[in-house]
Amino acid sequence: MNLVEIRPGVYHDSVSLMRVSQALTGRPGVELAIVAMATALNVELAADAGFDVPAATAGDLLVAIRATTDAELHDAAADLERQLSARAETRGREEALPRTIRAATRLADPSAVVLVSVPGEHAFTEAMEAVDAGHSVMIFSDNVPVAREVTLKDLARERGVLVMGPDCGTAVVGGAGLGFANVVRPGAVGVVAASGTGAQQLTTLLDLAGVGVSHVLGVGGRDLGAEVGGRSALQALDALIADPATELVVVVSKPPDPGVAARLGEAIAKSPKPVITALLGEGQPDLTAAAESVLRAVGAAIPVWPSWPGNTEPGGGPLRGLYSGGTLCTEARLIAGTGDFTDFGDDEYTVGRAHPMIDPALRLEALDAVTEGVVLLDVVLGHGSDPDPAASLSAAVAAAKSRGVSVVVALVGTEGDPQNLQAQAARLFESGAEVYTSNAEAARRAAVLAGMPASEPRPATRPKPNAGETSAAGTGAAGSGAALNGGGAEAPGEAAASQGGWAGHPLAMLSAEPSVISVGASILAEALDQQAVVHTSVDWRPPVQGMAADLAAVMADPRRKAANEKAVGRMLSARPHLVGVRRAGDVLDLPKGTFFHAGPPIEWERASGPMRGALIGGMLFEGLAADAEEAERKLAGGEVTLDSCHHHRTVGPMAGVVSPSMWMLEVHDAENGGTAYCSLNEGLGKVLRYGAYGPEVIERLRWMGEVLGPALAEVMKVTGPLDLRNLIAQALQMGDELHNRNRAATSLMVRELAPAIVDAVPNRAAEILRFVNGNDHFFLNAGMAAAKVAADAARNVEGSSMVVAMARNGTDFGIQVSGLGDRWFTGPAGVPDGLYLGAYGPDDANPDIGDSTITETVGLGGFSMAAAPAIVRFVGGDVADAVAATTAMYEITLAEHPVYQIPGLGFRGTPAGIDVTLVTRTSVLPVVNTGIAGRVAGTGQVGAGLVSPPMEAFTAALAALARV
Amino acid sequence: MAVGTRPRSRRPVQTAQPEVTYLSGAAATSLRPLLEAPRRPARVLAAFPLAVYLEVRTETEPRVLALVTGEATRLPNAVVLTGSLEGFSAGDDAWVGDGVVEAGGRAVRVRRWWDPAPPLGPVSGTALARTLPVLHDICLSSPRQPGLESGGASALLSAGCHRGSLVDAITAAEQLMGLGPGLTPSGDDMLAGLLVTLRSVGTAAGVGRAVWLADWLAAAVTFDARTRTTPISATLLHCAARGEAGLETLAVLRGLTGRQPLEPAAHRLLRLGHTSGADLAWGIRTGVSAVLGLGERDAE
Repeated sequence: MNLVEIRPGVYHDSVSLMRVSQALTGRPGVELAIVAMATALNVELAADAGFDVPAATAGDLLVAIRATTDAELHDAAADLERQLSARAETRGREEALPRTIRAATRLADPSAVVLVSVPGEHAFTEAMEAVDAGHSVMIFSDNVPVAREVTLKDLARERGVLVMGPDCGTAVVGGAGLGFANVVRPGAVGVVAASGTGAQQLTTLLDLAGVGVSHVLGVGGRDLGAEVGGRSALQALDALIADPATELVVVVSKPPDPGVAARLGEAIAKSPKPVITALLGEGQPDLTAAAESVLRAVGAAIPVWPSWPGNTEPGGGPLRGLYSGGTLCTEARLIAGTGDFTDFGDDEYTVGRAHPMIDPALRLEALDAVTEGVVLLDVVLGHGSDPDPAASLSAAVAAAKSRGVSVVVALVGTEGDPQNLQAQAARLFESGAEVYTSNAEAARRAAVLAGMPASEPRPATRPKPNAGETSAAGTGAAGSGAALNGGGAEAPGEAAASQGGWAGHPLAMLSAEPSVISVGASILAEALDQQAVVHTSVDWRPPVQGMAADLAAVMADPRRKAANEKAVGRMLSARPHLVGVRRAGDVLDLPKGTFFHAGPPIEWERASGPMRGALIGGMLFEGLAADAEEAERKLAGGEVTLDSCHHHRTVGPMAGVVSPSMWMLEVHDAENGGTAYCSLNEGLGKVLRYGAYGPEVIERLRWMGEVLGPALAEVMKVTGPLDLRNLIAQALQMGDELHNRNRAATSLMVRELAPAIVDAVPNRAAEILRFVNGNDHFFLNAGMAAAKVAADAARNVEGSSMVVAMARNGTDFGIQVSGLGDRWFTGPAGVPDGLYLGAYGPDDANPDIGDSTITETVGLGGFSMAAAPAIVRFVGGDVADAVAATTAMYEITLAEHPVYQIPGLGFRGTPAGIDVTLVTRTSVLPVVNTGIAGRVAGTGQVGAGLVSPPMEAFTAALAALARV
Repeated sequence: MAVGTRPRSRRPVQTAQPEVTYLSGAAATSLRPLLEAPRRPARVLAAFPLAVYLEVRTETEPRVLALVTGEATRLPNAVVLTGSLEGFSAGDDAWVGDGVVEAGGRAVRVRRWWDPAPPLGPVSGTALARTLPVLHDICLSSPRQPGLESGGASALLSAGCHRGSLVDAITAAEQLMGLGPGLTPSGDDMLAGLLVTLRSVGTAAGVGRAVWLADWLAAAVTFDARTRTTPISATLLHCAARGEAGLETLAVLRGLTGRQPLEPAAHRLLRLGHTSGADLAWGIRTGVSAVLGLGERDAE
């Protein structure tokens, strides 16, 4: 019986899912269970296994279970739910986890290390963010293009942080094991490791000899190659030389590129502390010999390496090496000189399955297949590895012994490791294996058993001579202080001055108590809990499907960070003032026969009901048509020119139609010097902006053009400029969000203007005040113009990914981006989801319309909902939802507004400056709080609710940024 | 130093053998000998929400071990856990050794070790002379002040250290031991801060006289610490005598020697306990000042 399901948008990391799959497969009656993200590979695996898999993308969860009976299938499915929700619960807390590294860095220590273990195509983007934010990063993931690695490491050097990786599985920072690492005592030996298991063998032997380790800094498998040039290795070397706790440094790697080796040699020659290199390969000393050199250098006794040897007679026969650690495999192969060695940690064996250090299945199969000769294998203990490897191996070992096969095990671990070294060794020994803690000894023994002559261990080379003393840490021996920090003292050699950090400061992560921000596989986070290391988890989800390459390209753009800072800085520093009220035809480029409208450019054919109605009304108002039919004919016939308000420093609410005879609020930015306009608000009921065009609408427009506009113009002459920023900030603290709730702002505005209204136009004062007071949203138009002028200040900053306009025309929702000029990126406008007035319902609603989303663009409206909890009465939901909406927006914005603050959030600034890359990475869309227009022209407002722009607008913008 | 609120009251004796929960945590290497030795009986001295103190039946120091969690201070004799420390009460039986700390139904193994007396790296007198006033200002303007009045024994101690006068320093130290309220009396914290600083900063700055002074003071203090003050404080004084300090103290020392930002470290230290942080800070300032003073004398 088969069960196949696709769960769209549900994400879990691959290691957790592998455990769930294994757990389910182990259930009675279950033949096979595949629970994995629906990548092409996994779908193929499931199809090959006989499951009929429906269409799915890599962002969906694939569930495929086969059981013998229905009942067992049902039970397995129930168990699956329990397993998945258990995993979700461990993350479930009252406060949502941060969705990005950026957000996590606000919660964590400044010296925290970021641990990235997301799928390779996304690893660069995440690591860039960490480095940009000034944190060292360990990249567990592999499959990162080498050019990206170089970009990352160059930026890291500038920022004074270290990139450990990509493909770095082992590090020890301040005693905390990151990834696959052993529990070692703290001490004076620092390790620069281009090889994970190499570092593990070295440090475990040192620990067994009682010598401690200060830090193990992984640099990634490619770092010492020609393209990367040893960037991280050189930086790590500097950092360890500058670290007071480190007295001797060891560099562990396969033989580096000759050019890199030379640079490394130069750095080592200048080092005041001794450096031993363990560059494994043909003719080089093995790891055990390197460990012994280190012991000699620090004056410690070389012990007999613990082993549990047997007294089997050499029986000859083929030697088969079954390894999980690549370097250990290479070392064993070189030492044994003979035999068939397989590195099960290699890519070809780990596609679609966990690393052999976690999942022994493939090795066990291979062991079972050996019928004669000698088998040599490694068992690596420590954090991250199988909690009881002997348990899974012992049966297979005993079986092999009974077939006459000799088994030799290299057991890499310390007394402090969670698996209990002694117990593991004893168990393996009891099942018939010979056990050695030195891989080199194990390899030699295996060779002997296979009938090769016993080989001598290679003599270790002496540590390279260098410019420093060979013993204890610098005690500032020269009394005047031969300080190694760049404090202006006469430091020996510039290599020391860099200290691996920034401008003479040491690498932060080496001094402080270790703390971690983890992104990706939760198994690595579990090991941190065991070590009582403070860590913050990021609730990471894959970015929007297909965007990984574009994201990486934009993240790599060197202009991006500074450009975004400049753009958002300009937007937040704007100081909008209402300076006047002017006739549109006088100040805007509006010849007769031209109309502006809200949203991105649109033609009559595609326009929705309210937009069409408003345009017809505009024609009638301007006297360009005698009646609605004529107006429609002319509009449809293309005799009228239409353009977006946004192209002309203007914004308009709802249909937002602007014609020459309308009067506009004029707002000026005292800081950046720009100007923006918005029409006067007509009030409620049958109004042009909702597409009504009856005689009362036209009449009112005339009154506004002949009476209201000019009157307000006079008023502004009396009052002088009105500080809108100040007014908005106050209104925000009085329960407005300035898009869908403007009552306080309107009241404040009337309070400011009322005396001047009485003074300037005494005969009309009452009329005007009544008109204004009849409409809670009167201020909206001034707020929109203020937002427009602020956002416009941020336009055209090359390389910036910040959104400077969001607008809808009733059919399309469009955005504009600072670094992409005047281009629009659109998608279909959605219908807001909320509450309806009276008898109206969703069928009566028009798609989202209006330029009022300019408020969200600057951090108001939906982004400030936490300041206006009362609005949930109109849009639905409860107060907690209003707060959650604002909180989510911090994940996708560049800054917090310095002036617009939300009392309920501790006066935190509103989230301002939407970043296209953050939206596409987190899949969190901006939330807009808006009125819902009736579909049929002239209906008016039918409700209020929340809506988001379409993701395709953001993905299109991102793709454009990647190619600019 | 109080790391929590009130100690829990005694719970009735349990007759059934409770299930043991296995936990793991991180510990200072000063505890390694205690943990690696054969299993010895111990008892819970005090239990607070964030810290539980165990006293082990042994002759060698450290004898008191602190289980801490959350934001509690990382003492030099601490085992840091994640998760809560409920279910312990003063007087409970415990066992320490063979790699495990067993108490309150929990068995704790150590999976990460840190060094509570790390080398600070070389530092010049000039550099210290620049950073000390910064620490001074932060301490003086903080609402957290040392627990004892200035003057009297503390002034004598400070002056004695400056002059390198063993007589004055030791006399004053003996007066300060056990002086003041709290689980770790103010006088002890001031001494602890001073001892650690004289040794570690003295070594870093190459002022041998400061290290010599630290040795003598340490000997005097540890000689009868057990009889003069609380068990918890006595163990901490023994740690300080060996140059072992809590992580907050170490952070300030690293800040003074330019390895990490000084201000946040100083503020974090001052927030410890009631007056503990301020007392430790007094000891650090006095120590650095003495190192500078003694260093000048050496140069003359």
